[in-house]
Amino acid sequence: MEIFTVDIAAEAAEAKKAKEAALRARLAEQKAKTAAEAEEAAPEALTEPEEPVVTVDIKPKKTRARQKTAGRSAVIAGASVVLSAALLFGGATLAMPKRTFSENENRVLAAMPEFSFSALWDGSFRTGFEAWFADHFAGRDTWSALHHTVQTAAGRKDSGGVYLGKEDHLFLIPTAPDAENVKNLTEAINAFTQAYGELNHYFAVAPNAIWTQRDLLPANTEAPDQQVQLESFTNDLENVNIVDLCAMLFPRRDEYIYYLTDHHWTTLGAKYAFDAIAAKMDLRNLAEKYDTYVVSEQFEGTLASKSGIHNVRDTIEIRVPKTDIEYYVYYADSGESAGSMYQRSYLDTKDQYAVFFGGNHALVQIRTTADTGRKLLVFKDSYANAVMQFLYPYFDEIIMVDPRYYYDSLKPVMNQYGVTDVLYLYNADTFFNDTSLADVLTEAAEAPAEPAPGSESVG
Amino acid sequence: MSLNSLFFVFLFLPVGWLLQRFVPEKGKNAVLLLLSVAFIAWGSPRDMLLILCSALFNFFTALELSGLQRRGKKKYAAAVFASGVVVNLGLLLFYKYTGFALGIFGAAQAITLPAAPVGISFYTFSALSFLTDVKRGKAHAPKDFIDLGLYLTFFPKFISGPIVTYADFEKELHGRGVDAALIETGVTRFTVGLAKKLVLADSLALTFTSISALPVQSLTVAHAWLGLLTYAFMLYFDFSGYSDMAIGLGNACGFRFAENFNYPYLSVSITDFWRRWHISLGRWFRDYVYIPMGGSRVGRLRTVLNLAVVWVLTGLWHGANWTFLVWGVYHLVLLLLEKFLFGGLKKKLPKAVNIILTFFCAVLGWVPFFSPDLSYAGGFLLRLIGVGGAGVINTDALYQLQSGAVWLALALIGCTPLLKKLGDRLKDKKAFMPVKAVLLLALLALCTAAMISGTYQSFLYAQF
Repeated sequence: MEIFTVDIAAEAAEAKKAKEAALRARLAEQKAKTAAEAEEAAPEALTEPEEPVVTVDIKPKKTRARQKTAGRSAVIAGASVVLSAALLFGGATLAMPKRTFSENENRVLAAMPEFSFSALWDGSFRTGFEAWFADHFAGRDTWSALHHTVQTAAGRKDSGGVYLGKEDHLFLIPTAPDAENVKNLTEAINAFTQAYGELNHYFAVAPNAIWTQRDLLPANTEAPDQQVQLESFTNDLENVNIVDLCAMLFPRRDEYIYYLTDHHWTTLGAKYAFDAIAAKMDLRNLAEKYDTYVVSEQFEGTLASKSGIHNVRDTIEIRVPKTDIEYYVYYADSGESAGSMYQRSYLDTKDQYAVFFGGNHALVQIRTTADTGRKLLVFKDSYANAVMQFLYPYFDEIIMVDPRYYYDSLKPVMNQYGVTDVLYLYNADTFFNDTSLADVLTEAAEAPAEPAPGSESVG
Repeated sequence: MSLNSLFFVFLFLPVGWLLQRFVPEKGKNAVLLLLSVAFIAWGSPRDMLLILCSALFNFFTALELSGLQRRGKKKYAAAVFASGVVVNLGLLLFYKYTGFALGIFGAAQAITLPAAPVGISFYTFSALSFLTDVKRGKAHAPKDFIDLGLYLTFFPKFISGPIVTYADFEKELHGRGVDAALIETGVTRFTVGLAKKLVLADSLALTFTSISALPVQSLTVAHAWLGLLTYAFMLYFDFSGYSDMAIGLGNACGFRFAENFNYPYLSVSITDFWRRWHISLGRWFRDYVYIPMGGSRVGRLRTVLNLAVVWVLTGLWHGANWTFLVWGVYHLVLLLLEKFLFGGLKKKLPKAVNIILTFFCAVLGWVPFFSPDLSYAGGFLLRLIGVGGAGVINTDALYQLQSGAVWLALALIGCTPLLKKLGDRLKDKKAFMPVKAVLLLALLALCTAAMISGTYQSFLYAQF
């Protein structure tokens, strides 16, 4: 409000005493100011008269600006470059050829919305057009990288729900276990175990990289103690054999057991998990040797997409046991069969972890020539997909059920297949927050099916 | 559409600016009005129709008003003026405060209310300023609708101000004369404002949002103070950045607007703070509420009452919520204390102490301002002094501090005139021109990166 009075004063001085020296103008200003205040004492209440040191220089700045006249081309250097850059990038965005898919963001980019007056009226044309403009903005990926470089340099070590760990490790920040769901899960598993008491039940839930490799977390961040979470969970389970994957993986945390840019474990991590499971299941005549193939050195996983950090690539390898046992895979959802669990075509896509089984399916059967008399039912998430290459030689049949995609009753499965062993193979983050497993188990436990004739409990 | 969107910066602005630049002097205002209408319509065609109807209403009201005044029919003029005020205020009250009022009577869910038009608070205050200035004879009722339409809808200031009075805007309407230096100042100012908002304020916002996402019970003392300081700077750079953008765009089109912020965190008193924070709003309340009510020329009790009215309204103007009312009353109390109790004491203190005290008081006021409700505000205040909560400091607080420290340091520098003084000293030096161009481009690049990252989203089709 002081500014207001000074403004008036300065203008008055400008008009009346344009030719006066600056000093005299300043004096006049002060004079006029006092006069204005005396005349209009009101502002006092809101604004006490105090040294208007800083405020005074607002007007002179403008006066200086006005004195400059057009034609000094050097002066508009800043305006020219900014406006030209805006025009250039805006124009380039409109004119350039468009991508349809962003590898970095792992999604289909927005298409130009169709124009209609109703779409304009309800705002959907605007949002659609702005999304299109942003998605196809010239140099989009580079801008995004620049943003992350700046933010990381300034000390921020998380982005999009992902911690930027040491040595290029990205860690998904897990969702805290939902207490209600944990209770439901415990009850469901116990009910299922009781209903199918003649089977062998195994529980193998893996800790996530954030717990196992917590040494590599950024400073002052903490991993949730998944070991404690898992122990307290398994303590409440009855008649279930617990495979302690924490104890297996933690000592091997310096090895390449989780991908740097993806939330899954590597084939090596899956192998260690298999070792622990095999010991618990008492699997015999273990294959000692594998043919190892590196199938990709350019894997950039979901964590890179989520965080926007695209610094490194991962290597995917597969391990084929050296064994005479053969198998084929049957996908119940598509009705297709395959002679291999590896789907190489997925190595050409963004989601290269889907090289195992082509991702997740409601129900997958692996039938083998193992002739061990054991049939395994696996309740699983995608962590299990990489373990199957190690498990298949020890079972006549493996049935993988992913409850998140499985909407049918499990009873026919329990009736038909003559299952001898049940395995829960998950990662902790998914396991504690997924509600579909409890639903499937509870339904199957309600009125237990008769064991199919000919199936005997082994082991 | 906001001034800091990709669409605005890379399409609307360069195209719009070139358009108005190369239209002959006579047609400039019409083009600017068209651009402004397009700007509002792009955000919401409904808002645009509503605003245009309201603007037409104000146009004819002012014509009628000035006609009646010229003919000396004071009573009719007063009635016409009053009806204008009622319609304008009614629109604001309906859109912004109906829900709040219904909530007081426990009927918040009774009806679904239409969304308030963007910028309605600023628009209404501009319209009221217009009618009042015409009534007071400080401005002429425009004969050309373009004049008033442009004043009410001018796109740089439409969404978030500054609130320019019609009397001031009128001076810029005709023969404002654009020179290269003003364009240069304007574009520079716009770019700096954009960076204040997108780079500094939005980075600070990351820290503030992580802290405010925590339940108030689990905050440590360190969290509370870090959150509070981060918010204080975030709000300042967000809002003053937006004002810079608006003033800069105005300059680029030849308009000169008064300053809206003047390093408020260096104020020596709360009175001073309000001369430096959102100046145009304080000025509006002074000119159109406080002085008409008698200001401080009436008795002490009336003065206090007048001040109370102003600060309750100022609080509620910021949002229809008790929290804003508390914030307004908090400032009222501070001002009264300063005016009637501690004024003398304050003068004896060294300037630095006064600055720190004022900063502390102003910043503390942001607690109710940012709180979703009063119970959160109460909890937050208790956390500040370590009552309840999760202790003094924990690793998460340290993590938040290490993530936000650089931006906080930059904010500390940025809320003083240091950089501005440096810029002013250099700006007439020829050798600085290329450096300045590069700096501006760098700022624009950082802003673009921030805008793009705001639209970054990854699609996780592969669940675990």
